[in-house]
Amino acid sequence: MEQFRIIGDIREYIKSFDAFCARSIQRGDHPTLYMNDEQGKTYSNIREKDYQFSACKKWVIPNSQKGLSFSARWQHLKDKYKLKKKWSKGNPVDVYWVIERCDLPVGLEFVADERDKEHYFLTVTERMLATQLREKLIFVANRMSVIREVQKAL
Amino acid sequence: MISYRYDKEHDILLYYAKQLSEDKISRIIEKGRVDSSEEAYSLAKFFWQMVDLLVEDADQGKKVCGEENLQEWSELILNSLRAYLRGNGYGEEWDRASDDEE
Repeated sequence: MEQFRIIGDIREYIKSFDAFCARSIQRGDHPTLYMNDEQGKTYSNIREKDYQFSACKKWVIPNSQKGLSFSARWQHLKDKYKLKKKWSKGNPVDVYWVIERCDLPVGLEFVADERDKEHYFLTVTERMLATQLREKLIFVANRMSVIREVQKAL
Repeated sequence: MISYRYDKEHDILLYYAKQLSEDKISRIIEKGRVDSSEEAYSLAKFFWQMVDLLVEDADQGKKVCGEENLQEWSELILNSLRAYLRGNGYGEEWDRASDDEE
């Protein structure tokens, strides 16, 4: 595990990868799931607004412009990191990332946001149960590398 | 035009522009576009000011425009404003306002 004191250090590290997909995560939170509804209504630990759910909320429907949010460029990651820091109440914020062309579970695909090519969605390409998507997101989380922010000394 | 995924993003922006008596920002939100570098920078600066208020309101358990998951709304609005400004030649203004937050 690599540790970085400030986000500027993260920049130099992550810039060395051509195509990455990264998420800013408050320490203690899961990199791909939401364990409560504090950051939005969830079903099977998946935020309702991140994916297109069926009316019964048991199924997730393919939509190429919906999915878990990832930064695909440094500038976007920087913005999302700053936003996360504002909500973290002083807690450290870590960066979880995978290379864009990593082996994803069947039925998942990274797709660029049509509005912003620096922003990607981890979309579903086939109808699946929310519980199945949850398992696939756990698989992705287990493949992600982490860059940890070092907490300031008290 | 600024493209929102949810109409509520527009409502929340307008709510905070009025809270902060930012008439210039209210006009930008209502017309749905920026017409100059100065307007672009003002809108980007306003976004980060608004986030501070969203955090305060969330801490107090306040609902805004009927919504309580304010962190999620701040993420959605960031994506919409950022995409619009950077996609319309105002990336430098967005980045400058964002860098001011450091």
